[in-house]
Amino acid sequence: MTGPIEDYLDQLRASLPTRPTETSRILAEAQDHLRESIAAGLSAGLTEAEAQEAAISAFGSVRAVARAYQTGRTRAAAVLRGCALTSSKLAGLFLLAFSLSSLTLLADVKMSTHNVAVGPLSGPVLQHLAAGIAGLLLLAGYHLARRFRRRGARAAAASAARYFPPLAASFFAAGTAAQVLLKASGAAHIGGPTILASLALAVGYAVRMRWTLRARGATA
Amino acid sequence: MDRERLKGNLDLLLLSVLSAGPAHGYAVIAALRDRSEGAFDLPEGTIYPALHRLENSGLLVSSWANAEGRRRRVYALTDKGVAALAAEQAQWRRFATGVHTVVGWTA
Repeated sequence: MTGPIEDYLDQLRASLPTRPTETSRILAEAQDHLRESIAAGLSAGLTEAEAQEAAISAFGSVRAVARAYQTGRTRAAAVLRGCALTSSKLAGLFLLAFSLSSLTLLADVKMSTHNVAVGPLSGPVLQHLAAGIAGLLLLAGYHLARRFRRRGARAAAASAARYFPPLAASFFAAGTAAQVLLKASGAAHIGGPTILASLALAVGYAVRMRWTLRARGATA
Repeated sequence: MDRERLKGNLDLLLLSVLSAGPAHGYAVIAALRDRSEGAFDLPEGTIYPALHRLENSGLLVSSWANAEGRRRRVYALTDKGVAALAAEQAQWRRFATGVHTVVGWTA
């Protein structure tokens, strides 16, 4: 099957609040049902496109079908997932704003006082850059997760998302190494518990994303 | 027909349809629509969760079967399902009789 039916099943896959094995069975049944419904439409004299549209319409909207599978537990999980996504977005925006404003301030201080301690790669600059990158990673993760929820594990989003966990882990390792080196050379103070916490959050998010990808892959 | 009212009696309706013999989801939904002469017309996709719930309760059993070159999930009543259907039918008869008596209408 191609076209609207495949799109419908992809959207349903992304919306179902069920476990992967259960999702797989639900989709198989839905596909068989739609196929049967299309055959009935064709027998009644509809065109292929009309039969597909009628089959989808009779089956019900993705939202209605997904809601019919919701239980109290899955409803609560959906709310928590939404909160986690929103928190990621807000944290990402905060880190990005914090980074940009701090870097602007540092540049201003350097220009107005000719302060040589604030070099292009000094400790504070690196820390604020790290915060900005962590913010970008969180925002990227947020948008990928949103895309998954809308379209399921398809195409570019799935490929791009696979690079997110190693990217976040590499960034975390590089950031930690830079902090250690700066401390050893006495070039800067370690003032980044907030930044380290944000990096840890980015890695945690990446790991969670990996689990999601595996779960989606199991139902593909 | 009010959908909420229909959903409240969906278990009885599905068990009744399947009392005629094992059937796959599409056939169950088609029978429900045809036997009600179109009155029971829920979104078809919302019937499957009810079938799965009845299966999880032990009232139905299902298995994949090959028919016309396709794999289909076929549902059948269990002994517990047969007993539940009898109980639901008795309860419904009492309810319908009570309603008929109160509203003063006889079928």
